[in-house]
Amino acid sequence: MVKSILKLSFIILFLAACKKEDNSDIINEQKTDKPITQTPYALNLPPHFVYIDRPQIPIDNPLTVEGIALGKKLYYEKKLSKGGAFDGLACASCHLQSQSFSSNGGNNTQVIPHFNLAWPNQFLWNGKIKGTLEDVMLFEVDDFFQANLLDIKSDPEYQNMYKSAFGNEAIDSKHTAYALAQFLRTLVSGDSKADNEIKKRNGIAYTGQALNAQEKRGYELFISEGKGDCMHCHGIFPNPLWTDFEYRNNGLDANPDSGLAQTTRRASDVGKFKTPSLRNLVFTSPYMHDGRFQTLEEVIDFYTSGVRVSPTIDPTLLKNRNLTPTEKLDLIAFLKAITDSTFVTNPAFSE
Amino acid sequence: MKNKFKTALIALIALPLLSLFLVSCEDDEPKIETKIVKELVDPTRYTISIDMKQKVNGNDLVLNTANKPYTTKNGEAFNVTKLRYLISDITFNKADGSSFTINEYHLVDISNSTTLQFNPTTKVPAGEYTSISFNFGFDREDNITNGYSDLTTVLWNWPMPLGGGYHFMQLEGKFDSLGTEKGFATHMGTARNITPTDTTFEDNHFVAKPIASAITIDGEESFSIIMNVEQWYENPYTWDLNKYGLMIMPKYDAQRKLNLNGPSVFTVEI
Repeated sequence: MVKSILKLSFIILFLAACKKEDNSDIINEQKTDKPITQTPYALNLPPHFVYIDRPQIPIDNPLTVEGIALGKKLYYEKKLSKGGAFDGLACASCHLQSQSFSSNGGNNTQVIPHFNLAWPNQFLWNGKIKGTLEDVMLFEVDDFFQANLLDIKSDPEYQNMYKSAFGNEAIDSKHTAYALAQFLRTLVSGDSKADNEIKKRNGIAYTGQALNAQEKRGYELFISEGKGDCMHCHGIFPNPLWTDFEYRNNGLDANPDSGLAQTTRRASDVGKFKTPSLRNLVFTSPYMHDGRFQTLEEVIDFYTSGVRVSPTIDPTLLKNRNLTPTEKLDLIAFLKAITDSTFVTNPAFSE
Repeated sequence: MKNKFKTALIALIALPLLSLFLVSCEDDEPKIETKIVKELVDPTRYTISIDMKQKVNGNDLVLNTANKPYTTKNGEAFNVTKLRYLISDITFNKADGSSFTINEYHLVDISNSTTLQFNPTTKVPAGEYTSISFNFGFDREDNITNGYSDLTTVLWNWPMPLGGGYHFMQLEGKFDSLGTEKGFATHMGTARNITPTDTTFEDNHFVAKPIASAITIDGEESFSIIMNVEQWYENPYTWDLNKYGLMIMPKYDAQRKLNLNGPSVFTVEI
């Protein structure tokens, strides 16, 4: 068998190596269909995002105007959930733009906000999906949402949109997930007073306000290891993401929920949850993975005096964060200065 | 699997055959082929690959153990929950005093296995070297605030009030202190020195010159740089985690003591 294949390849190679003129037919044959060309879309990042790495975009799912338009329509599409676990709901039913594409999901679950998702490579509170946005969207489409594509497949408008976005590929879970991933990648949030402060400190032009005196004091507490020490998990100028996307036990409970251990089955991961971004907190209350805290004041009080020890607690939580009442106010003022109001009204992201 | 093997086998045999045929079809001598081969194998410079290893008390470091299997010279039992560190400017030194430096840096995060091997893009000239040395952290010239987007992305910046630039190390874990569990975070970077008259920021990197690191480069070479973690707390200063546990970044004493203890932390395996 191997011998005969070898002989064959030998002959083919010989032909390929020495014949040069006869392959025009083959090329013509392949292009019977009219080619469908997508319009490339360049992800437009705010200028100060130059200080972090540009996000990796999978080579098999480049951003295109058509793909993003399809993704957006699907994000707001209620038909997608027909007969599934979330019948009658669209992605946007729980990920409300007015709440930075988040909401309180009830049942002790806080809906993860959708912004700046082009950077992480692990997703969901318990880290269930590792990989790209395409991977997590495929999980959402197939498993979480149990998306129903029958209505989509028979809809002429969607038929055209899938064709514009992906050519002659099938209307299937993969391409539905790929379109959603493209739309989500465009949800970049980077316009706040804190963002302006980064620009200001680095000589980049900005419009609007940068931090005021109180917010600056708050930032100093945020990055001071002896005070707030928020920076080791949530970031420091000029990184505009306000999270390192890692999973940690931040001391919420003496007997914490399994968290990341649900995914890894490792005892050392019990109680570890995704470190969320601190951007747009004004829109995303309540706080923590289970939405247990209603206000930022409660959150700061928790970190200063409410931490509960359990075996997997992060060692940096085992200290007293001594903040005076005034310092707490300063810190909260800074947190509120990472609010991007243009993001929650941007018509490019609206239905 | 079988099919893959078959395809690979065919490709392996077919490819050289293809080149033979290409050559046979050409009328001229195969000059081009010879040139390509020369470019691929430069006999004077070679790729090196470095395994970044970590040991504690002589054993391979295991992250996130439930117990505290390691001991400091001062007597505290501890475990390790996080270890990230940066090395730069790996240098190959010759007996005549000349040297060759790879002007690159590498951040190790032991929770991410892809960072445990450093494959510099710079090739090293063939030769006999009497020792290998490197910078732990960045020297002053390289410690450029906001200068490295990959490091800024993973929150490696050292705060501006402490001098800016980047962290050199984050070594974290828990230790037992008189029956109570406490946390430690041995973070190292620029040392801020506040005196009654002035505040200065002192370059806090050191040059590690591990003993027995002679190496001959006459082909692709790999070696290991081993961090012996307990050594941070031993020599010459016996470190007390009760005194320098958490919040040591702004403590000038602690930063300088790490600098003194650092040189004996590293060994090399050729």
